[in-house]
Amino acid sequence: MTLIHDLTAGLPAGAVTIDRVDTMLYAHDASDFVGRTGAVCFPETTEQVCHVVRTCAKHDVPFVARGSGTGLAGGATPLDGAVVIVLTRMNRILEIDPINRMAWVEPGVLNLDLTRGVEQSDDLFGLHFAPDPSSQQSCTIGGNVANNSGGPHCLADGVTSAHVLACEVVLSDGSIVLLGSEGSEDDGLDLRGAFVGSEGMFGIATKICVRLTQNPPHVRTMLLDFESVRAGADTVGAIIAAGIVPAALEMMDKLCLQAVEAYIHAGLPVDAAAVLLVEVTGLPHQVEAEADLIARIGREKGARHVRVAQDEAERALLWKGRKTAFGAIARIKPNYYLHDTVVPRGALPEVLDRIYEIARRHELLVLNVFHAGDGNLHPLLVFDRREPGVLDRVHAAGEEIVRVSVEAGGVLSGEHGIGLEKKDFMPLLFDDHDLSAQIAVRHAFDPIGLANPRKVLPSPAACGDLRHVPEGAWI
Amino acid sequence: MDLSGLDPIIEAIRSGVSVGVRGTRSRTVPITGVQPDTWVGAPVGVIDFQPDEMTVRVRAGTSIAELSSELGTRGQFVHGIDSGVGTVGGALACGRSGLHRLGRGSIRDVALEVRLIDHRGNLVKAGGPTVKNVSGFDLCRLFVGSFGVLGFAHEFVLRTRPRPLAECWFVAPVSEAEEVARIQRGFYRPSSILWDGREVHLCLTGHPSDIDAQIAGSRFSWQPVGAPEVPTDWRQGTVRPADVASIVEREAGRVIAQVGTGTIHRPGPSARREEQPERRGIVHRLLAEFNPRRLLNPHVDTESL
Ligand SMILES: Cc1cc2nc3c(=O)[nH]c(=O)nc-3n(C[C@H](O)[C@H](O)[C@H](O)COP(=O)(O)OP(=O)(O)OC[C@H]3O[C@@H](n4cnc5c(N)ncnc54)[C@H](O)[C@@H]3O)c2cc1C
Ligand SMILES: Cc1cc2nc3c(=O)[nH]c(=O)nc-3n(C[C@H](O)[C@H](O)[C@H](O)COP(=O)(O)OP(=O)(O)OC[C@H]3O[C@@H](n4cnc5c(N)ncnc54)[C@H](O)[C@@H]3O)c2cc1C
Repeated sequence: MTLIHDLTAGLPAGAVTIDRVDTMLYAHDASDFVGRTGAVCFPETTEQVCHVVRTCAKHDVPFVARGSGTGLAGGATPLDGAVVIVLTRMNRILEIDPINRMAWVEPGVLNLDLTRGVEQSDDLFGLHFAPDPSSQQSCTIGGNVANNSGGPHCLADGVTSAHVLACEVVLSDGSIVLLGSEGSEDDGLDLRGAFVGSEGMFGIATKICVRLTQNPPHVRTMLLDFESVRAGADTVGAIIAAGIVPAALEMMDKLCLQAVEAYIHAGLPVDAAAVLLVEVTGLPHQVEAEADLIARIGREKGARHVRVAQDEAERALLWKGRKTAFGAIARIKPNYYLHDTVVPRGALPEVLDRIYEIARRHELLVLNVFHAGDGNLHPLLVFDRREPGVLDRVHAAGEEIVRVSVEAGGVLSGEHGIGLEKKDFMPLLFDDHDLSAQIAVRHAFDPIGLANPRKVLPSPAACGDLRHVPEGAWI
Repeated sequence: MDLSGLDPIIEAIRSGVSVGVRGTRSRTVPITGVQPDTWVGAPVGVIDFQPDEMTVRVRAGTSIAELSSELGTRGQFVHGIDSGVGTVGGALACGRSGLHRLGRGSIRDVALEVRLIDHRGNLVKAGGPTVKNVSGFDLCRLFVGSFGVLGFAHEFVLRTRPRPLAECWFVAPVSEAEEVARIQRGFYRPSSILWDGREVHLCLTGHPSDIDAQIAGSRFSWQPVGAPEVPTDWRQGTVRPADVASIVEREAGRVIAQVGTGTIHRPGPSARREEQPERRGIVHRLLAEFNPRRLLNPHVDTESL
């Protein structure tokens, strides 16, 4: 029996395709890596996921879980003719417990749909799902779990792992296991914690129990603008050192501001070198005290203006500036490459200087719009793919940015994951013993190695020799 | 990095005998009855506290008291490792989040980087020093709560946080589950709600005026009290949060529940969770990889992990 025949046997009509257009469509995520798809399946139940996974095991073919394909590191890119398991048809919110603030959802529920589905719950303050990646209109909860995704409001509330209580997972032999529990503190090994962030390499999440968070009753959103990037970065450290953990603390540099202002006309200070978007949330006295202190710290550090949103409309406008940055950038050049390193907050000014220098040397434009509060940089190299040789320059600059971040005491990725993109950079952070431990954990979850293989962990040949395109994929 | 304090531990592990690691042995851990041939302790000392990064690098054998007092100089603390006897390594190896689990989250989220000595005596690093990091698999969360059977920790980078302006406990008589649910829905992100079937202890944190306003707006008769304590010989267990009400109503006076989280404290040992074979399979494979001859912490009963 062929793979396709076996797959079809356990799935509803039309839930398997090897159509050329479909396989091409699912050969990549939102990154530049293109792989090779064996087949695409659209299961609707956990049982059907088990069937696909068991069939893959029978034929010794790898499988790749896929949510919306918005991943930026090639995590959902199939290699070697892997079967792509698309989870977007499993998109129901199964159960909401508003009192204990949790919900069971299927993995294909979109991040924003979850919040929309719970916000009317019976709680004095209303509820939401705290992780808010900029892609929240389109990315799935399953993808968020697999990448341990973050967002602007994760500074105070924590990234996805802090909001996942349990996962039902289909392992690579087709068995089903429950990791974690609704009760948040089981004794024993935290297999749930290990699963979150495993980028589809430990198994497929088919049900997820998420924690819900009360909406803040009071919010202050403010925009501080600076004549130098350094003054802005210093303000970030000073706010944290003063004992304030804002709900969000984001930075945009000049080029980014100009692009955004041309796009949305929000009256942004386009002559500033950098702005900070700061949001404090909670109960009124605390919020007002913190907002006053932040304004004072900002002025001491050289802020020219402190614009405080006067109403919900102005707040939405300021956030629109931050959230549409990616769209705005498309007006400068058609393509961008987004990096995602993290550095200690104190190293932000130096590392940003180095990033500008690297871009200049490679004759590239770079815009910075990022989660300054946790030192999570997002340098965007913008370019036009049609320009001969430009991709080589983009990759060379990107590699230097990663190296500079690690040298400054930072790490490879804050929220996008390692996937294919950064797997061969892993030896910059981890030695052979460290990597063996990671391989051992993966082996414990997936002894047969068919769940999304050849991601995250460096290719054996590539240690020390950083290549960007793994065999079987192209850019 | 100063690794001198590690030589005796590495030597003990490499000698091929069984080795146990201990902090101050203040913890009740699940016991097999097998005793290790040798005991070792982790090195001590706070290495680097960075208040503006909200991180601290600390050796695993450091006492909780020393860490707390160092962080206290800048008004910060590490959730779950801020009071009581014992060592930082012991607290993380046990992985108990304490009574503020509801508002402050899990102790599993505080370890950013863990440096271990593995069963071969090799040094292994997991995680990284920054407050946000998804570079590679999350071995830090696997260490927290592992009772030291996956490796011995010698150093951590931990996430710190500022102390709230105020932290106040209140008590009110509450015997109906409906009323407890009303408290859950009506207060903004309380740090803790404890219920024993007769009274609720509520902890609110933040600006004192906000705390006053919340209490004034509540229809319960709250009285300020000191921080409650769970009797030291009681044991902790976990249930579905939705089942807390019926359990407490049934066992009123003989149970303390952390409402909203499903953590239950009782005088006797708590029932073991129902174990699924698929989960055990993963645990056994992890042990086979990280502790193949069971020479690390043989006294810990891994069947409960
Ligand atoms: C414009 C834009 C903005 C973005 N902004 C952010 C941001 O602010 N913060 C952030 O963190 N990320 C951001 N991202 C990245 C991306 O949106 C997130 O990583 C998201 O969580 C991916 O979800 P997805 O459903 O698209 O997953 P996919 O891309 O389909 O998959 C991502 C990974 O998860 C695995 N996976 C998917 N579903 C499952 C499952 N059910 N079980 C097991 N593994 C699974 C896949 O195999 C793959 O490895 C952004 C991306 C874009 C394009
Ligand atoms: C009766 C009692 C009840 C308590 N209840 C609580 C509570 O509910 N919540 C709470 O937060 N605190 C509680 N504590 C405080 C508790 O003692 C601390 O959490 C303490 O940190 C435990 O550390 P220890 O050094 O004494 O660990 P030990 O008791 O010496 O060790 C505990 C376990 O951790 C392992 N271990 C120790 N160090 C390492 C290391 N470096 N690497 C790997 N494994 C290691 C040991 O092998 C052992 O398995 C309680 C204390 C007592 C006396």
